[in-house]
Amino acid sequence: MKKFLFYILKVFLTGLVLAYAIAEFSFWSLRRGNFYKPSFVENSIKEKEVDYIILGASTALTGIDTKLLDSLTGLKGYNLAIDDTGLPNNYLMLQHFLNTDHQTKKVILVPTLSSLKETSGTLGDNDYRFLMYNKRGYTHNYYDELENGDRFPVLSSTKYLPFLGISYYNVELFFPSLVSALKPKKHNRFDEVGDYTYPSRKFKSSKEFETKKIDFKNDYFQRIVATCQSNSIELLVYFPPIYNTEIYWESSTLEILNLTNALKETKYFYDEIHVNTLGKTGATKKIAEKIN
Amino acid sequence: MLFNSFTFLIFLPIVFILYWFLLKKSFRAQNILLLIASYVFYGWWDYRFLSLILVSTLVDYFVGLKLSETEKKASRKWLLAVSLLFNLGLLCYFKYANFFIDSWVEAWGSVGVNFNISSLSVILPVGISFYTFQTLSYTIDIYRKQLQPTPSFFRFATYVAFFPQLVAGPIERAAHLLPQFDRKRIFDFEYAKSGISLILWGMFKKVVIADNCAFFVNQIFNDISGHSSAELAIGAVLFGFQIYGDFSGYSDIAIGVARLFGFDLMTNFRFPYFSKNIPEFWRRWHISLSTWFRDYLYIPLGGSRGGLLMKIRNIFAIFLVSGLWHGANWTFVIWGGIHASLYLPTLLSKAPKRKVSNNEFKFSQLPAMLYTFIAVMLAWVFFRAANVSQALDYLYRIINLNSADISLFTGSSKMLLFSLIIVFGIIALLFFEFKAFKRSQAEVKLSVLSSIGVFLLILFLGVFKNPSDFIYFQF
Repeated sequence: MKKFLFYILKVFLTGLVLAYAIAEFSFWSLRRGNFYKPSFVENSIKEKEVDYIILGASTALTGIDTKLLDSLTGLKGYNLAIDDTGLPNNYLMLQHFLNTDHQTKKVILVPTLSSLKETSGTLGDNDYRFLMYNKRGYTHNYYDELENGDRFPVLSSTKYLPFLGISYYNVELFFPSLVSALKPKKHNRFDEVGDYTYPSRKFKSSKEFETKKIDFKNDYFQRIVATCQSNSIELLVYFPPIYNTEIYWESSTLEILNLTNALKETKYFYDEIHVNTLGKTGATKKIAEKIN
Repeated sequence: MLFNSFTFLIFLPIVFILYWFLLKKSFRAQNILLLIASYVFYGWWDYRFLSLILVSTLVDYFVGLKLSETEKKASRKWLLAVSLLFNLGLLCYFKYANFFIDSWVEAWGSVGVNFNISSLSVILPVGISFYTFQTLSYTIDIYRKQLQPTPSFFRFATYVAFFPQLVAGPIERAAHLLPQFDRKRIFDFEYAKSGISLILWGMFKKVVIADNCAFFVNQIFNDISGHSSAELAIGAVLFGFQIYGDFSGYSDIAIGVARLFGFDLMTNFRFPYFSKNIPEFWRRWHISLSTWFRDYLYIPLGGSRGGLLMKIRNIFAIFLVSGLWHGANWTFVIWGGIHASLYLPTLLSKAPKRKVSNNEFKFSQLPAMLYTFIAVMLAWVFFRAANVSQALDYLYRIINLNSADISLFTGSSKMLLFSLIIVFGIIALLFFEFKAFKRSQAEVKLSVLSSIGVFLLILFLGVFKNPSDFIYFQF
């Protein structure tokens, strides 16, 4: 039995030590590169203070032309939105931005309607993109707080066993880390200011016009508001165009730009909730008007 | 509980430690531990169906005892009938009731007679096809006086529910497994080491080969018309590797886990994709089921004795029933029929039967291997398709040669990545298995270095985020 236990130790301990080393290398490579937005914030935003940052999900990532906005307003900003995320991730990104020695005068927050509907928060599909910073308190706390349910807590356990996260998200983290090691400047579907544009395609829809009532009770939304207030950051809540939809709310002291029903024709849309290049330009001009 | 789950990663060491450290001195206590562990293992999936296993165990245990007590032919036949009716009745109700109802309604509907019978709402208990066949073999062997019944209910219950092979085989024979519960197990280093090697190899086949192949296979079979001939052909091959990785991977893990507790389970797969003809394929694929059908169906029907027509009838009978065993769908029956048709030429040619343990390889055998491989891959289309018309459409679109486009596999960096993992995984699989095949080994044996390498491949190339269930669980 002793011989067997020694054999097990030899195989699995060696395997785990190697796995640990590979995982640490992967995280190091991802931190060093610019593949995902969190490391882009750390490595590519050289300014200590920027005029604005955009937080949100795919509607923000693809719905605002940051370069055009800069040219229309004379400001300098970055789009830090990540697709398939919600308000909790937007809050995490804000914390990350502030914790990486950056400041911003303004936050343009683009909340998803589905995220606003919830009172608390749930993990987003792309929250693993912060995993290379799992040892930082705000990231670990975030995973610890949101990772619950039946599944083994992979994200929060990665702090102690780094290969867990790299193994679980191998396609999303391990292989990109190899790409990042070879090409540290490579971005994953975003440009030098953080924007991404959907390819053009014809959009057709038979959707009937609808109105939706929203509120701002979401816990993470409130945390973002509080963080902005405590850091003297102006907050602009922006609702981008949605095809044949208009939202409304009862009352709010927040600065809100509601363009949900601003673009009415299908020619502005990629799909029901995302604008195409034409819609993006139109919406960005309206944001610029609001800022100016 | 799944072998590739975190729960099993905790469960296995706990049972192992209790078994070898706490209960080492009493094999009876070890048996009870294995029984409890097996019920926990199964109950983790759905505890309600534990009662089915228990009732099945009770019925066959008492039928076995009663069979040994009586010499009267009529009584013995009645007792056997009780076991057959009970076990096959369970199987028929849970697995085939809706199939027979739907087929009956459809058949009458085609001649204009309509019945308003709705399908039953039945959940198929995991592993029912496996453990009912295992308990059936026990009573049939006692009936045939080839086996003495065990007096210990606990031992028999442990044999039926033995967790490594409970839900997806190998389907063990009582004559082979049951006596192993009757004797003290002595820990053997080399044996346990070979178990670890098999567990790692089986896990590699499951999470690296099968689950990565499933990524493409599901997309292709869910949208046949949206894919080119080339993509469909590759999809059929990928399904061949998926099902092999999935099922043989499970068997390897099962055998490996059993070895950690000092038990020997039968070899279930012997590198089937290196077969040179269909009969050889069936001596290498799901051996525990093929031999079960051989012993309890084919031979009683007359086997290869008798005239040509009788031989053909027996071959078709065994393959059609085997197809139906896999699932309540005509696709499985046709899959069995295809294999029966491909089996016949070799059977009738009276060529000498090659032993699967003798694997002398010559390059001149490559065309025969390739032919067998392609035939098996095409037959898998019926196995995977949702219905017969989908399978026919799939094959028609392959033969149609409409396009050689393979953008599904190369269209985006993610797709390309999956393709590279699969190609690399399949090359590694064939490399290790061909080496073992040429050495006439029954299984892949990994050195310490290879074990560490395979462990790392599992960790970094395996699918853990969206793993697929083991395909054979549905059978």
